[in-house]
Amino acid sequence: MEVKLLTARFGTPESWSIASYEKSGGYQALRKALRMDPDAVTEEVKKSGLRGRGGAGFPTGMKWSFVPKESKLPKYLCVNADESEPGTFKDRYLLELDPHAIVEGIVITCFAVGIHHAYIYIRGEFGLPYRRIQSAVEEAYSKGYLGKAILGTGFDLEVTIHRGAGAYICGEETGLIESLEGKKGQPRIKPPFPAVVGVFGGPTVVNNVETIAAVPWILGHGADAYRKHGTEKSPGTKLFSVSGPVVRPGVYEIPLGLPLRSLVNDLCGGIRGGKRMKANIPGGSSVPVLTAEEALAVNLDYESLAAAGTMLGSGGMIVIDEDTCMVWALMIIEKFYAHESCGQCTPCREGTGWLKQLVARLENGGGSPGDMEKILSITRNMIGTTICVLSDAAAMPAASFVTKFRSEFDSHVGAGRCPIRRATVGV
Amino acid sequence: MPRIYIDDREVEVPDGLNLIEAAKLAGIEIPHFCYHPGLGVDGNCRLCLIEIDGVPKPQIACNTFVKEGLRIRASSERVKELRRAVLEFFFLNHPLDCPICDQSGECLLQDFYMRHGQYESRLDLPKVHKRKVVDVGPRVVLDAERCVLCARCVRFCDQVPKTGELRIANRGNHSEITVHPDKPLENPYSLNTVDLCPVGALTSTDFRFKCRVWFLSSARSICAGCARGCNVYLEHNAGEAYRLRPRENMDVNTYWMCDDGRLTYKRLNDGRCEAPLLGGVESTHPQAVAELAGKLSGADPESILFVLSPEMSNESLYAARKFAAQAIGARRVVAASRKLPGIEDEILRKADANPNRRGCEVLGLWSDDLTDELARGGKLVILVQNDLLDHAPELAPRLAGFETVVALATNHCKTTAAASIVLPVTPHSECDGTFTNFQGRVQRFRRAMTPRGDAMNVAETLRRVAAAMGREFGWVNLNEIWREMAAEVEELSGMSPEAIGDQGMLLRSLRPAKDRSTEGEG
Repeated sequence: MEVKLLTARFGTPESWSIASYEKSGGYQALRKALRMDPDAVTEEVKKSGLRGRGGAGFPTGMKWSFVPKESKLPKYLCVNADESEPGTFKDRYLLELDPHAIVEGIVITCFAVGIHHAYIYIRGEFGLPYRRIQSAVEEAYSKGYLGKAILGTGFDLEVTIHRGAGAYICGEETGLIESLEGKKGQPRIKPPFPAVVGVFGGPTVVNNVETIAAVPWILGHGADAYRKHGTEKSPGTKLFSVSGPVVRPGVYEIPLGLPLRSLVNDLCGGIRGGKRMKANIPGGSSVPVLTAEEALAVNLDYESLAAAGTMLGSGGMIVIDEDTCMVWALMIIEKFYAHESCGQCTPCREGTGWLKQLVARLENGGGSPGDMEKILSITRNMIGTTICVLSDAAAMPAASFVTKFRSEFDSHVGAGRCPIRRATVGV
Repeated sequence: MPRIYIDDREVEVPDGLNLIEAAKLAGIEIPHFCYHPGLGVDGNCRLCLIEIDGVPKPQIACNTFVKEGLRIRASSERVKELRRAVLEFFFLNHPLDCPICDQSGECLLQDFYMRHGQYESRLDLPKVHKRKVVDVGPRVVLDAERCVLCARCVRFCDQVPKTGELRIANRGNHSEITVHPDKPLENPYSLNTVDLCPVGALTSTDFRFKCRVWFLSSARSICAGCARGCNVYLEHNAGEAYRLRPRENMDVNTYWMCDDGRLTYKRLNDGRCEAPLLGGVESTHPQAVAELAGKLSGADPESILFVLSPEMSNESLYAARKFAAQAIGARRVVAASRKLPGIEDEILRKADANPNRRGCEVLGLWSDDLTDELARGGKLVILVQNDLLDHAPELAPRLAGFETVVALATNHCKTTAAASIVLPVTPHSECDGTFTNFQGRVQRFRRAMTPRGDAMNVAETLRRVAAAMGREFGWVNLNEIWREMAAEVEELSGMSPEAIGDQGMLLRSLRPAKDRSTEGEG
């Protein structure tokens, strides 16, 4: 059921070292790419159908081709390693266990787009992942995979690692760019898009760690081999970070299109203690929640999840069991988004705080019967009205939790405290 | 020019405009906080969301630019609902302290709520509290709770004085405007942040709590603080000037004015000469006029010196020059100032602290050196709106060389103290007229308040003096003076108060040849 393309090296001794990486065929895709025409490299990635793994799922090859060929200002690649979406921890594994795949992916991407300076923007809380990727970059420099005249070709590339300071919003590509430039991390108004005006004004590609890590495999094995996995519209494999009360939580690489039921029940061993699943957030805390019934009927690919009214997102799957209070779960989510809203756009700045307060009041048994309608109305005013999608990210869970688990919300009104947690965990 | 459709109404608008400006041209208000034509697009307030046909999500009008055939909805049900929603978000943590807020009456949050909000309140949760009454600088006070975080003030400091004192600190609904540590908001343009602030978050230390804004009347005027001549609104109530606010003129001051200039209104209130003085004792206007007429009649014209000033309007200068030449036959007429140069910068401020030196030059009156004329002495020296001795006290003995010192003055000063005849005249807040700025732009100011006490404008004062001497002299109004000035002074030809309008008009030699006839600019 698992298909290990990007995670094949996980578990091999010292998988993060260059020796181990080279031994398992590392940097061969780069050698191949450097002999190709840069446009052909982009074409191959386009052909593979690789979609951005950070959350939005935008076709990667197309993103690269938006960058103008000629530019007065330097072009940049930003690898988005600011993995912050609650429930998501796949990039962390890639950074810790296979950092050279990321470095190789960076060189190939930069060669394809004509970039000579790449940044890795890594979240500040990542200690080990930072040390691993830093050491991989140093090893790559010493072996001539980075720096001047890479592998004897005329291609130069510098890589700089930048550590974030702990803001979710810096995972949004333009927030990341602002932060990288030394400013307060808050998203930029678009247009212009980063492909035209990005880091220090130069055209910029921003790609997720997992996206970049897939590039060497695609170049090494060919787009057709990649497309053998997954579905027509969602080719290849995807790393899912599964958390919650399953028997074996963790990171699983599966072909896109795998039934959710297989991932949860077979790979993860089902719910602990023989409990039932109540709900499932398939793509990170910002996507609409699925009921267990919906979840068990859905396949894990972009189109099936969209048809089910949710999103694949970052693949951060949060499993919720029958003992968990949905109001309590939503309160935690809303606290997060209220804390992380950059505060720039009015609907998000005020809406996230409002949702947090309303849901917390309900969870504490102090809500009123009109609160649910109020929450739904607030979410309508928050979706699609701001510069970036943090507002949507806070609103979508609220709308879906309240709609799909209405009776739990109703049971809290006038209860004085959380009736579900009183029954399950005695608080 | 592209044609666009706003709510199915076809309008033709200049290329390059955003939809807020385009709609404004069509007389449609798209409410907004963060966008300002002088500061560009920021896109944070989200109040200007509109619908565009064929685009699924609502778009912000400020960052959408006109193109041929664009069809937008600025008043659809969805757009109205979004506006109400965004306003509701703004009010969520707003203190609603309008009764004690100095912005009341000119607050965009109030205005927009009345025009686009009007929903039932759904707010039943405690508000986030922030800092209040913070002196962010010597002239500006911050109330962070009232702030809508549009960042206009931040962008102003970054873009115009380029001093960058202000930032938004913290995140989410704890975001608030703050100054860098040890770097207060004290740039010489800081008070523009108060104008830019759409709500009562930034208020002026000088103006706050002095007067409710709905009591203020506003007159189109010119700042007399330097040779720039920033276009302003002079705002007043019951004969007192309360503040100056910049008035848009893209050729002169764009949207801004400097802090020093803003405080020049005080001189229009304080230390004013309101009654004529004879030998330092209050007199009546007819008596003082008769006294002066008598002195003038008995003096040899060669022994009379007129010292005019670059604080006088073009009309006053012209009237004084003509009075000297025709009513008296005097030839010793100069305009001079001994004011020290002020600070000049590349934004607005000019070193020349006089509003109308260029006007003196055009009328051939300007003199850089007064010493010789004063040294010649004589029977009478008549100083008009000239506080010479305040800036050059060393000239006092020279003035004493005249038998009689006469001052036509707006304010008490060392010159009036040295004068035996003082006649009060009106400053530019109390009469109509023009100044010519350093660019050679003749700019109108309008009478804001009724003259104080016995003050009257220079032309009228001199007409009365001439009449007391039994001589015909003078005009009935501004237009009459202008008809004569424009005919006589080549640089002013083609001009009239009407042609000069509210945006000013360049001197003839500075106008492109095709515009040297009569049409005004702007």
